[in-house]
Amino acid sequence: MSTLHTQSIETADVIVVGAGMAGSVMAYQLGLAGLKVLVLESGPAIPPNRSEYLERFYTAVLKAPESPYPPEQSEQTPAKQFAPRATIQDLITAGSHDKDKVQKSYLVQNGPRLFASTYERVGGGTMWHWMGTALRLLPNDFRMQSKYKVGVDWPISYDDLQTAYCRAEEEMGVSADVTSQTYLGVTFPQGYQYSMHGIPPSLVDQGVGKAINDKQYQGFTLNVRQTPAGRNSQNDNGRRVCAGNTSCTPICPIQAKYDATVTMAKALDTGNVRILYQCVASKVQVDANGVTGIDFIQYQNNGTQQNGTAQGKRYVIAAHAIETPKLLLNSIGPHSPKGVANSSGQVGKSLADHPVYLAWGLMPEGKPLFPFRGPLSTSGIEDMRDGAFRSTRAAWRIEIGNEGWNWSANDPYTTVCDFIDGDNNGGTNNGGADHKSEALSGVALVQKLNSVLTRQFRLAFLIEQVEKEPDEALCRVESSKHFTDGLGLPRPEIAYELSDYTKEGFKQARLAATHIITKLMGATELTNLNPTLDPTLVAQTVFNYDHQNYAFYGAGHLMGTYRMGSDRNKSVVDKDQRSWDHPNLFLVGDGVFPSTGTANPTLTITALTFQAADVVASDLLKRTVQVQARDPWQGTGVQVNGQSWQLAVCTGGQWTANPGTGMVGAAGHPGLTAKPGYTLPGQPEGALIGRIGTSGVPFLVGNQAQLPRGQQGELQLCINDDLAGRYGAGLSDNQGSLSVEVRFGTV
Amino acid sequence: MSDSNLQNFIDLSAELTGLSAKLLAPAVDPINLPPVFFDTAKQGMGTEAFSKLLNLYVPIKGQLHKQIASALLGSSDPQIAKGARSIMKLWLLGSWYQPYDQGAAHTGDIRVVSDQAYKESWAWKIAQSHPMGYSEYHFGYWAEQPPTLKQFTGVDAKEGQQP
Repeated sequence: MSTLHTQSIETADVIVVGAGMAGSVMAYQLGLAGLKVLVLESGPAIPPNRSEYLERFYTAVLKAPESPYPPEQSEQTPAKQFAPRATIQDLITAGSHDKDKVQKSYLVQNGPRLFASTYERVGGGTMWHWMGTALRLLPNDFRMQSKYKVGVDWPISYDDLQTAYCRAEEEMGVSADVTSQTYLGVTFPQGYQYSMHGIPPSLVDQGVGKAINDKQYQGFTLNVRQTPAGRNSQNDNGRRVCAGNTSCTPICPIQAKYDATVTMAKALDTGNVRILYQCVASKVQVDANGVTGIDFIQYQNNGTQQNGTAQGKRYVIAAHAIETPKLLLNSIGPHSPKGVANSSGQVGKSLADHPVYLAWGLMPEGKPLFPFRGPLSTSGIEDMRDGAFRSTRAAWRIEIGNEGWNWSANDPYTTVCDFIDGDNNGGTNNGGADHKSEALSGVALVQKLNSVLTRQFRLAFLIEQVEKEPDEALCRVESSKHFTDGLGLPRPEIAYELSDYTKEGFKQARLAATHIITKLMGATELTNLNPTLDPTLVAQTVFNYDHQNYAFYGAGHLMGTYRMGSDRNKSVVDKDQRSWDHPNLFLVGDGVFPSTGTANPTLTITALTFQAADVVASDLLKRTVQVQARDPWQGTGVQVNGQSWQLAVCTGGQWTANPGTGMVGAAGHPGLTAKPGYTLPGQPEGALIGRIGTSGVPFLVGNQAQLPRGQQGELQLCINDDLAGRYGAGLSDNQGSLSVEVRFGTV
Repeated sequence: MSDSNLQNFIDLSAELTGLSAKLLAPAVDPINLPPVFFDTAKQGMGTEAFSKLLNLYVPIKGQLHKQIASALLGSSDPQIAKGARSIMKLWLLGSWYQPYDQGAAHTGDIRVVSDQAYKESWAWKIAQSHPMGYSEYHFGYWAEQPPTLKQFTGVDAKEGQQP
C-alpha cells in the first residue's frame, strides 16, 4: 500500500459531503440553479445497473439490509477499512460476549442499550434499502413541548413545511390517495394530488382491516390505512411499476421504488455537479468567518490514498446522523476547540431511532392471509400516532408487514427447518402428541408448511424516542479516543438508552399488539414476551420496564445529533439548517430532527433539504432589482429555468400608476381594477406584474409570488397600467419604483 | 455421475420433499439445478455417505412413503439421517445446511448454492408466493387470492386450509 501526500485542491461553488438522499437533492437543486457543485462520497460509485448488487443479495445467507452492498474489505476489521460502517453482523457482535467486539464492531457501543440501526456508505446512500414509506410528520410532532410538555419544539411548523412536503412527494413520485392521508391534523393544499394513485392493500392488510376496522381501543377508532410509498403504481416516470418483489429492503430488483440515485442522475444531468467517489471527508477547516475548506482522503481499492481539500463558497454536510457528527467532532482546531459547529456542545447529542416493538401472530387454520406477497408493507394503523396520552408516554405507528415472519423469525427458513428437523425454534412445531415437535416429510411436510406459512403476519410498532432531558441527552455519538478506521480517523462511540417515557410506549404497544392479535384477529400470538436480559452485557437490545422484559429492533431511522432549533445554545443549526457558528456551513439530513415523531423520516429529510437548498442557492444567487413605474416591461437579468422554485418578493419602495389616486405598494390600488389593454387586466391597477420572457403570460406578483414553473426565460417585471396609453397618459405620468428581490424558495 | 445416480437422487428428493420428480427435474429444464444439487449434496455429505444414502434408497424405491422416510430419515446412521434432511432443505430453501463436520465445512454452516437455487427454491411456492426479491407477477397481484397450492406444487392443500 502506498500513500501519496500530494495535496489536490478541488473547488466549486458548493461542496456537499454525502451522495445519499439529502446530498442528492441538495446537489440537484443547486445544479439546477446554475451553481457548480462538488460532492464528496465516501463509498463506491453508483453502479451502472443493479445486477451485481442483486446477485449478492440472492446468494447472501443473511439477507440483511446491507447484504447487496457489503463494505469493501469486509474481511478486515474496521481498524483497517477505509469507509467502514455498522452492519447487522456488526450489531450482533457488539451485542454479544465476544471479547474482541470493540475491535470487530465499527460502532463502539458503550450501552447500556445497543443502538440497533445501520446505514450505508455507498453512492446513493442508505436510500438503496429504504422501504419506500413516505409519511408526513403530524402537526403536533413539531410542537411536542408546547403541546405535551415533553421533548422540544421544532423551530418550524407543519405549515412551514407544507410546500416542501409537496415538492418532496413530487421528486420521489409518491403513490397515495389524499383522502387516506388526511388525519390527525395533516392537511394538503386545495386540490392536491399525489404523483400516483395509491398502492392496493395486500391480503394481509385486508385481513387485518376486516378484523379491526371501526373497533374501539382506548378511545381510538382502529383503522387500517394505505401507506404512502415512494414506489411506482404507474410508470409515467420511466421506471417500472412495482411488481411486488417483497424486498424493498434490502433492494428493489427493478427500481420501481424511488431511491436517491434517481435524483443524483438528474443532478449530474444539469452539467453542474460532479462527484468524487471513495472520497472520505476527514476534517472541516474553519476560521473566524466560517468554513475555509473540507479536507478529504481519496482511496483506491489497491490501497492508494491521496489527500486533498475541497473549497467552495458554501459547505453542506449530508452524511447522516452518525458520520456527520463524527466528522464535526473530529475537526478540532483553533477556531473549533470542541469540534466544528459545536459551540452549543450539542453535536452528537440526542441520537435517536424509532425503536421497534415487533409482534407476530398465526391466524387460525382455514384463515390464511397469504403473506410473502407484495411490497414489504402497504398499510399501517396510524390513528394512535397522536393524542393526549403523549404527555405521559411515547406514541407509535403500526406498520403491517407483508413478509410473514421473515423479519421476526427469519421465515420461511426457520419453520422449514423446524418441520424437517423436528425442532421448534419458530414456535409453531408443537402440534404432535403431547405438544411435541414433529419431523415431517413428503406431502405432509408440504401441507404443514403451507398451512403455517400462509397464516403468518406481523405488526411493527415504530416508537417515538424522547429523551427525559432533551438538552442533556443520554443518547449520543462521540469521537472515539481509542479506536480508528483504516484512514486513521477516530470511529464513533455510541451511548444509548431509552427513557421511561419511551419504555411506557413499549408497554402500551405490547398491550395493543396482544389485543389486536388475539382478541380482534382471533390469532395465536408468537411474540417472545419474555426475552432474556443479560446483566453482564455492555450493550443489548433488551430492557426491563415495569417488571417485564422487552426486546426492541432498529428501524434504520437515524435521527438527532445536530438538531435544528431557535436557541443557538441548545441546537446546532437554525431553522434554515445553517450552522449557528459558521454561516457558510449547512448540515442536512435527519440529524437535524429535534424530535422523532412516528413517521419514517425520509420524506421529511427530503422536504427539509429542499428548503435548505433554497437558502444556499439564495445566499449565492439572490438578486435585487429596481422596477420603475414609468417604464414598460423591464428585464431583471434573472433567468428562470422552469424547474427551480423561485420567488419574487417586493422588499420596499412605492409607486403609482396614477398620481391622482396616490402612491401604493406592490399590491397596487385595492379599489381600482385594471382595464383591457393594461399589463394584467382584472388585477389591481398599480400592482407589480411579472412574465417569463417577452412572450410569457403576465401574472400577478404583488407583494410576493411564486414564479411559474414550466416556463423558461428572463423574468420581466412591470407596473399594472395602461401600457399603450389607450386611456390617457399611459405610463408617462407614473411615479416611483419598487425594490424586488428574486430568490429561491416557496411562498 | 451416472444418469441413473442422478435419477435416483431426484426420485429420493421427490420422495422426501413431497414434490414430484417432474417438478423437481422438468423434462425441459434450462436452469437444470438437479446436477448442481447432486454435486452439492455429494460434496457436502462426502462421497461415501452420499453413496450410502442412495444405495439405501434404491432397493426400497417404490415402497410406501412412510417406509422410505423411516428407513432414511430414521436411519441409525446419523450421517444418512442428517444428510437426507439437508437434501430436503436444499430443495426447499436453495441453501446447503452442512449436516455434520465434513472436510473444511462445519456443522451448521449455511451456503446459498447459487442465485438460481435461491430463485427456484420451493418453500416460497409452498407458501403460494415467490422468493423475496424475485417476483414474476404484476402490479397489484398481492390484493388478489394466489393460485392454489396444487397449482404451485402439485400437492393439494390440507382440507379446510384454504378459503
